[in-house]
Amino acid sequence: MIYVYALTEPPCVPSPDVKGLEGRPVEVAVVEEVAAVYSRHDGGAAARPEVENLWAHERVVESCMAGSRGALLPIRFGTIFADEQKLAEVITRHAGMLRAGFDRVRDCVELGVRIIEARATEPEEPPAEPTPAAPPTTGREYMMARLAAERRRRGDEARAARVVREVHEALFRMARDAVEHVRTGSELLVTCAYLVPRGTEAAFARRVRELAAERPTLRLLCTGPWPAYHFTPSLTVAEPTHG
Amino acid sequence: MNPAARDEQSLEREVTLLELVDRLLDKGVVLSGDITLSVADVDLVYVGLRVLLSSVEAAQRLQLRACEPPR
Repeated sequence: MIYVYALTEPPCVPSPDVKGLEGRPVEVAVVEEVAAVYSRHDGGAAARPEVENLWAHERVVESCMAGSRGALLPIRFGTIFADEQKLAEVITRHAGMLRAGFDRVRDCVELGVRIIEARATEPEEPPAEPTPAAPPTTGREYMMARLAAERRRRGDEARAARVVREVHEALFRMARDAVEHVRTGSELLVTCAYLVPRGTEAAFARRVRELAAERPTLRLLCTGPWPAYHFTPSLTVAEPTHG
Repeated sequence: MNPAARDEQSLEREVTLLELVDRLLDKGVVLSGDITLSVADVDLVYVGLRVLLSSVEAAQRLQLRACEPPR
C-alpha cells in the first residue's frame, strides 16, 4: 500500500530527515511531469485520523514545500493506493487538471484568518430579568420592548457583518485568491483562506495586526503559511469508457 | 510568563490545530484512492477534537478580558 501526501512540479526533494506516517521514509515518483510524494505501508492502518498522524502528514507536505521551487498541491488526508501503478493511472487520468492546479497556486502560500466578532463572545445580557423600576405592565409594552431588543440585535449583526466585510476586502487586496466561510452560531465567526505570493506572508500578517488594532470589536487570528489546501482543483470523476 | 501571554499561546495552538484538521480532512486534492477515509472516521476526529478544544471559546473570552485596559 502507498500513502500519498502531495503532488508537485518536479523536481521535489523532501528533506531526508522528515519521516512519513508510521516513521516510513518518504519517496517521490514522477508521472507525466507530476511528482507524487508518498510512503510505503503494510496496510491501510497508517491513515488512522489521529492528531499525531495529521501532523505527520502536514510535516511531509511542508518539507516538500521547502524542498521544491515548483508548485505543490496537497492531497487530502487518508488517500491510499494499492501500488505505484494505481497511483500513476489516476495521475495520468487527471494530468491536465493537475497542471492547471499547479498554475493556480504557483509561487503562493495559503494563510488562514479567523475573524471573530468580539461583542458576540461576551456573555449575553440577561434580557429576561425585568427591571424593578419599570416592568412592562401591559402586553403592548412587553411587545414594544421585545421589538426594540430585536431591532438592536439586528443592527448589531449588520454592523458586525459590515466590519468583517471591510477586513476581508482589505486582506483580499493583498491576495491572489480567497475562500471565505461564515459560521453562524452564538458568535459571528468567519474563517478565510487567502492565497498570497510567497515572500509577502510577513506583510500580510502585519496588515492583519493593523486591521485588528483599528477594530477593537474584532479578534483576528492569522495562521500559516499553509500549503494551498483551499485552492486545489476538484478532479472530476473519469467518464466511463465505452468499448 | 504572564497568564495573558500563556492564554494567548494556548489559544493559538488550539486554533492552529483546528485549522490543520479543517484543511487535512476537508480540503486538498481528492484522488480516488483504493482506500479512503469514511465519513464516520472523520466524524470521530471532530468528536475527539471537541474534547481537546473545549477551551477555545473560554480562552477567547479570557483573552478579551485580558485586552481590556487595567483599571
